[in-house]
Amino acid sequence: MSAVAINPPRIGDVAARPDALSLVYQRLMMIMLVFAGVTLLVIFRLAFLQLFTDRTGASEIGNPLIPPRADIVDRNGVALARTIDAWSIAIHPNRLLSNPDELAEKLAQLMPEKSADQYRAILKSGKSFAFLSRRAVPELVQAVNALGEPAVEFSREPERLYPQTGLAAHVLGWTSMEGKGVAGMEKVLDSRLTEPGLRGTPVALAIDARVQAALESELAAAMAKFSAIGAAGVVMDIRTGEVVALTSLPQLNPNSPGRGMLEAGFNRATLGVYELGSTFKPFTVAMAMDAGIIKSFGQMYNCPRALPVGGRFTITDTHPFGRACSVAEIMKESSNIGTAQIAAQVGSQRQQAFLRQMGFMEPVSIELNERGRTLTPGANWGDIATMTVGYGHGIAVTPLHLATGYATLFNGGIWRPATLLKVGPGHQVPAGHRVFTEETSRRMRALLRLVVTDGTGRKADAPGYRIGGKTGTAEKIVGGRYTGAAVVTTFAGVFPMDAPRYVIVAMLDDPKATADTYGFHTAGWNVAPVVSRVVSRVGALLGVAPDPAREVDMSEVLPYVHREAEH
Amino acid sequence: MIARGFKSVIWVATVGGAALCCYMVSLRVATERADLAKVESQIIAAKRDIRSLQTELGTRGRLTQLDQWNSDVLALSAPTSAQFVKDDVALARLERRDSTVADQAQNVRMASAEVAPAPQRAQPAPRVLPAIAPAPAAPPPMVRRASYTPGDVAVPARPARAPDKPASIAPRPTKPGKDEMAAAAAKPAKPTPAKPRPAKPTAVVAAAAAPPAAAKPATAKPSPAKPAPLKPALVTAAAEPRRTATAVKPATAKPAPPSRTATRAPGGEAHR
Repeated sequence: MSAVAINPPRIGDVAARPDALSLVYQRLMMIMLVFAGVTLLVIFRLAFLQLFTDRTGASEIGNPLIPPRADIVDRNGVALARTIDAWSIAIHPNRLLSNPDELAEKLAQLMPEKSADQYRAILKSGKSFAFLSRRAVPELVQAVNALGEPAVEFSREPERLYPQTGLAAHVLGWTSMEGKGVAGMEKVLDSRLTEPGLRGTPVALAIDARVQAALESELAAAMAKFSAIGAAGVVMDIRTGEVVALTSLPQLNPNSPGRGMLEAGFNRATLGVYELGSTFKPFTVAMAMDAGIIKSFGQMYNCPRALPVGGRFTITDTHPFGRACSVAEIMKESSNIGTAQIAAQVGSQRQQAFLRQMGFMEPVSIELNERGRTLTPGANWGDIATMTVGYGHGIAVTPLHLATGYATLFNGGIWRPATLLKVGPGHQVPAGHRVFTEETSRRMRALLRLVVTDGTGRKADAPGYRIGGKTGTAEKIVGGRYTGAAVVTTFAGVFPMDAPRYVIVAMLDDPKATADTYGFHTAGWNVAPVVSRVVSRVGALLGVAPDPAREVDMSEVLPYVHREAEH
Repeated sequence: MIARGFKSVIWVATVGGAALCCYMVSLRVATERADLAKVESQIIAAKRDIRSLQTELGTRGRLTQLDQWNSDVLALSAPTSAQFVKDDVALARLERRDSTVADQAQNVRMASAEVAPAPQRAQPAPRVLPAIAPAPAAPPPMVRRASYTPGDVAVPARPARAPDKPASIAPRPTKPGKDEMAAAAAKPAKPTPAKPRPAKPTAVVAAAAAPPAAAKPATAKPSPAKPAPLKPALVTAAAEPRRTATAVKPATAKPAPPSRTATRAPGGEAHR
């Protein structure tokens, strides 16, 4: 308007006035529309934000409860492996403010795993980042923080923790710093444990932590007592093939897997193969029974003091009979000579077929990757090999093979693979295949019970639990030849023998004789007591109530045992 | 007119007020939501804490650690087969009832019945000595009369007169059971020495076999000895209302402690 007033001559321009006015109106309208549009846009945006923004943040907060790697628990839900947030301590050497020499001294005091010189080298390296400690405990973090160096950085990172420390370490395996499974079930189940949809649900193993602990502590005690270099043990459900406990000693701490790995990392139960000696004899007898060779435990064999075989090698016994003896006696006194004759009757072909059916010719069937190849006579499986294999020499298998074999022999004759995963809705018992007849399986009970009540395995008996089993002492091959000095002693047993439920195998690698054992280092002296103690500790936990009033029907074997005391 | 002039202002105020109200509601909702989110994050934090604490507890109480504690300190061992109970009957056999107060009371009473050793304690007393002097040459014992008055204050017994004869001659009363009337308590038990002695008052009381009398002190008044025939001296304690105990006894006698018969009469329990 003022412009109009200043410029009067234009006012007179009547023809141009309406145009100018409409132009102004148009421009005003445009501006108003723009303002309205922007305002509406802002309002809509606000409304949108108000309505559709989820400010609870549930999508982000819901996740922290799901660990980055699923837990592993035992069959009763006891945590065996968990992922926790651990502290890591790092430093930025290029941003260091304090004196590197002083700081290195203090760090070496707090974290003695590296020397002061090593810390000094890190601090003076001028790098932008270096870890000082990972998996640090909160106390250490607090102490390092108190040093007041701003270049030190603390952060949380997921860490795999094994709360039971060394318990079942060879079953669980361990993970790398990056959180990848590198051994044991951690490796086998790696994809399952990290699968986003399943991370929240823990994986249940077949292991029972209590049984595992009892087996480990008793084996460790025996190992220390007899100065053995190693030990292995397996407890297995004979009906489902679930491995309730599996251990290999010396123990390993998966929380710090780098230390002592060379010896302890070796899984003697599934990776180590051993000639397991006389524990094979029941298989030979069962094969002969299935083949119709042995019809009664009273069947007699000539058992001289030594049996020359093939002209260059002689089979001997630790308890030589020097007379004719029955099958029951052969088993009771663990006679190599008698068993070799039975094996010879079974024959090489049949023996191989049986062993193949029991999985003794290939690595043991279990989820673990650490499985050893068995050693068999192979192409040289002649008569002599058949005889030695009959009593457990010349064939090397893992203790878990043996446990699977005993499970097969006593569960009615059905072979099933061993499993470390709990049998349940998602994991059914495999059908397996028949190896021995049910009748053979039933009759073998009394024979192995006899070994424990009257024979070489007397020290394995646990009152009321009706253990039956077989001892085995095999000489180790040192430098390519057998030596009597080093042995592997094994006990393979089943309890309760009147209605078999669990098989237990315990093995000591190179036990020495002690004063307690009167200079013997055979299985009946060192490893059989372990079985007795383990079974007394875990029998009730596994649902086997001890009952002194129950006993296996021994009428099939006792009449055929020559009793010294009666004469 | 004025209203029309302010119409726009009123509109603006109304709309502004409404908008403000809406905004307030929205703000309130936002605050509530923020609170909810806070609570939820607290729940999450608590769950994480629970998990980490469970992990810590599981690690500290790991089985190998428990096993070590057991071997170092507790020394517990696996139960033997004898410690397992097979069935209900075996379980019931294990039950051993703790004795109740009533049982204990009963026990005490039974014990006391056995303990009340009245017979034993009185053992020395029943020296129911025959009143007949062994030697015929002995002089006849003096017969005394003991009068017993319950209500009386205990009066010291009058000194018994010294026997004329030497003390060695013991008077022997007959067995009191013989004629029933005498609770031999009041009977003199032993001959006194030559010197007279005060008789003890309590003796006769029990002898009277009269419960009321037993509770009270009584005086046994040895009466002056009377000459008696040679026949055994008779000690009589009459339980008359008067409660006068008449004892015929040797002069030398002094009242003896209650005899067996006397104490037994009220019964063990009463005695206690």
